[in-house]
Amino acid sequence: MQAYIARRMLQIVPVLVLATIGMFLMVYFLPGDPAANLMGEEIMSATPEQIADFRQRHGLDKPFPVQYATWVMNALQGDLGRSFRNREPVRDSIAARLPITLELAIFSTLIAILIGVPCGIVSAVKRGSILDMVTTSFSVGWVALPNFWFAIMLVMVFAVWLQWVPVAGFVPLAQDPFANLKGMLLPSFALGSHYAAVLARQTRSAMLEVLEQDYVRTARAKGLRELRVILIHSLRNALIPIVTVLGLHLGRVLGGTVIIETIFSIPGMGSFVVASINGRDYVAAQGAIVVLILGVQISNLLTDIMYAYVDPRIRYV
Amino acid sequence: MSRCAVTLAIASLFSLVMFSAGCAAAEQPGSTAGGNDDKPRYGGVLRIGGSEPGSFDAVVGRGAGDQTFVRAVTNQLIAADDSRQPDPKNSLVAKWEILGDGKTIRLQLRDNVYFNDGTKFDASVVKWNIERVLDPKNFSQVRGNFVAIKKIEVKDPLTVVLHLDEVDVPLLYHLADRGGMMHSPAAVTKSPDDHGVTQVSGTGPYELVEWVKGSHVTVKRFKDYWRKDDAGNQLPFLDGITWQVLPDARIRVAALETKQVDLIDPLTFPGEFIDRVRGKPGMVFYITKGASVPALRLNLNVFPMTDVHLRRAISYSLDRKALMKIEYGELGEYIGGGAITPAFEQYFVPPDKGGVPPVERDLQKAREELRLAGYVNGFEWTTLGSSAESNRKRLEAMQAMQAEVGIKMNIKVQDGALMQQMFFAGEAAAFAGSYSDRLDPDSGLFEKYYCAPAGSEALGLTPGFGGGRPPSSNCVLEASLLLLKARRTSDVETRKRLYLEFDKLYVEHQLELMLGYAKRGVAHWDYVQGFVLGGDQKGEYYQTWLRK
Repeated sequence: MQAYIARRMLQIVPVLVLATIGMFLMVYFLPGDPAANLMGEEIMSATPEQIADFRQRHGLDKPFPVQYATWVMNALQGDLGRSFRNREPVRDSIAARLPITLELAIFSTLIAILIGVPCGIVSAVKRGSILDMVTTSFSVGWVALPNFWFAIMLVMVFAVWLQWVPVAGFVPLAQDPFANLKGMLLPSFALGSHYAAVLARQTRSAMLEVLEQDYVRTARAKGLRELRVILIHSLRNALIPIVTVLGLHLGRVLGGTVIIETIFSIPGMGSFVVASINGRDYVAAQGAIVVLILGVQISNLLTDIMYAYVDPRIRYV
Repeated sequence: MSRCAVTLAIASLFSLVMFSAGCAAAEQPGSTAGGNDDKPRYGGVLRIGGSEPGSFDAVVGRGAGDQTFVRAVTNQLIAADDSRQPDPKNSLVAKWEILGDGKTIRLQLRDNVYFNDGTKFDASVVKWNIERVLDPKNFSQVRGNFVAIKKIEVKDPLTVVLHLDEVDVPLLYHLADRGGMMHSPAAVTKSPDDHGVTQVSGTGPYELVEWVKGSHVTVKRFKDYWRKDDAGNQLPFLDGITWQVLPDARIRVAALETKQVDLIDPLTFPGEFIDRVRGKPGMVFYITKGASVPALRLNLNVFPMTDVHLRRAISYSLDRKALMKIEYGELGEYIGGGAITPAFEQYFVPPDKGGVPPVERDLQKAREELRLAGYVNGFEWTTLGSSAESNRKRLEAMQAMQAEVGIKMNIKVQDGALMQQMFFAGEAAAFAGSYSDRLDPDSGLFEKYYCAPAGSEALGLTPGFGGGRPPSSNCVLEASLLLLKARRTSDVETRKRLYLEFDKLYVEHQLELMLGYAKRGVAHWDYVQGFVLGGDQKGEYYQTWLRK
């Protein structure tokens, strides 16, 4: 297993290299001159010397391979450059935002598991019943529901009407854990409930397949309690597709959910990436995207490792 | 799992929820706690819902919304009160004189004023700051306001003399704008990249504590602030202010309703949610004068804006009242007039008192203008617009209105930075935006509409362009002359007459497709006292306090 993990970590490197080259190329050929974007209206009155000076100060005058190599060398030393827009080190911006996105990802995943898996199990076990129909209908409808609308509804009910939780805003965990958890309840639920619906559908499907297996019939024939049959003998064997869905969800959430972050005023990676791209802040966008690619790769690796623990038949050499 | 365990789990969850509900309903800091005494009280943190600045640095920053933040931490050389008159009490300049032929301005500075990094405010600091604005390397958007300054002379530590190339009456107002906001040279020089972002120097009532992008901005009282109120009380009264970044309008209003914030930044109050706050017990809500102008900014070098008949055709096809309602709800109005908004009380002439009448929607006139231009069957053109919901709604409505006379308007969605670049590069005939009031009409009008190509000296013009749109030979020279004359006289009535004449030309030639005036909605809980709007309708918090 260790060898497998080490091999997979090494595999991340070429993926990162290809992804960053592709990203640089896209940014390089995007419409719009970064110098002009940053200078704004001034470019119309700036002299050629001023424009050249601006390019030189921001490294925009060098050929593409030189710009890329410089960026890589700096990135390896932890320097992801400074934002064009506000001159803040990109590393600091990401370091401030990534933990927030991770927290949102973990909470929403937990909510997805706590709601989706039991619903899927119940739906599969009580197949054909009214409970199954209700659960299936809800999960189908929930997948179709726009999560921004659901988020607003959550705010109206729980924050405005009942005033149980704050409307929006983020309090760091270290500053006030209780306030942090209260503030993350609604956004985590808004995000997690959508994936709970997906997970419920996937769990139901996987469980239905497993419940038809001979070993489940044998377990029942042996007189084992039904709950043990479902949770130990059936669910364990249905976990592979569930873990896959969770892994995809985690990767997606790490990429940031701009809409949820915007509604709840959470300074996460999603809004940072979008703001950087919209503002043609190439340096910030590149740094953030690289971190996100790394995050998705690690998420995929964790998913693969989970397979080995869930299914002992899977062995990595 | 046993029944006992399940029961225990449900009971625990219920308790947790009820506990949370109880905590949520607890008194919020700053809320009313009895007492009708209206004497200002010290203490408390004001929580504001709104947006965040682009930068705290007055020179480098560009956003109109920045000023609310920048003014919390700096002071202007010459401040303006809410009637847009110079306010010596709140100014770093204690006294100013315009000498001789009007080309010399002497500024007598206030003594015993310090920046929050300990630097003393004096004449050398003033010189350094103005030179910083004028330095092209800093790309200050207000550089054009100071180009008349030929030389800055430090007479003594508290006296600065500005020598001008030509008479520039609005210069005093420009010193109340970004260009007159003072930063400490030591702080800016020490870390130019960080200044305005993670730290900012100023002489204002507050100093920056923390700015978490996308989340909040926190400032705290600056203990060495120089100013006292009329009763001699040291300012400010608040311990600090926290702006909570709430981009979604619904959430912003919900945060105010639940007292998660005490006030909504007037620049960001959404007109469509007025009914949620008006008349609510304990809530103060009012609407101020129209202080910003939504418009299509036109590139007169690009078809169809090259032809005044086509500009008029577009103009006559629009129902401006409807457009303002779509975008601003009750905060939008169209009453006629031109580039001078009703917030400029000294200069605005209402249509019913001789001002510019409204341009009503008239499809027949629109078709007539098309005929005069030789486009009887209409034409096609492209405008730029942002992806913001309100902007999109406005443009789609305009598109439908123009279609009725055969004009096909394409909308190209772009973000602000690229939109401006494309506009200046001539890739589109217009872009949809709005501009907010400055303290003097000259500040906004001159940069956008002054247009004097080479050879116009004979008409008394100084060749050049304001810089607010691409240089063009398609100029209305008479309009430029009016702006120049208004710049060179201090007589209010004369300026009022000149700006009225300018507005008439502005509308006649459709120098811009102006849609109306957007007012500001002010909403806060009644325990927030002493909140004022500056002359340009932006919030100022130097004397705000919380009734506990």
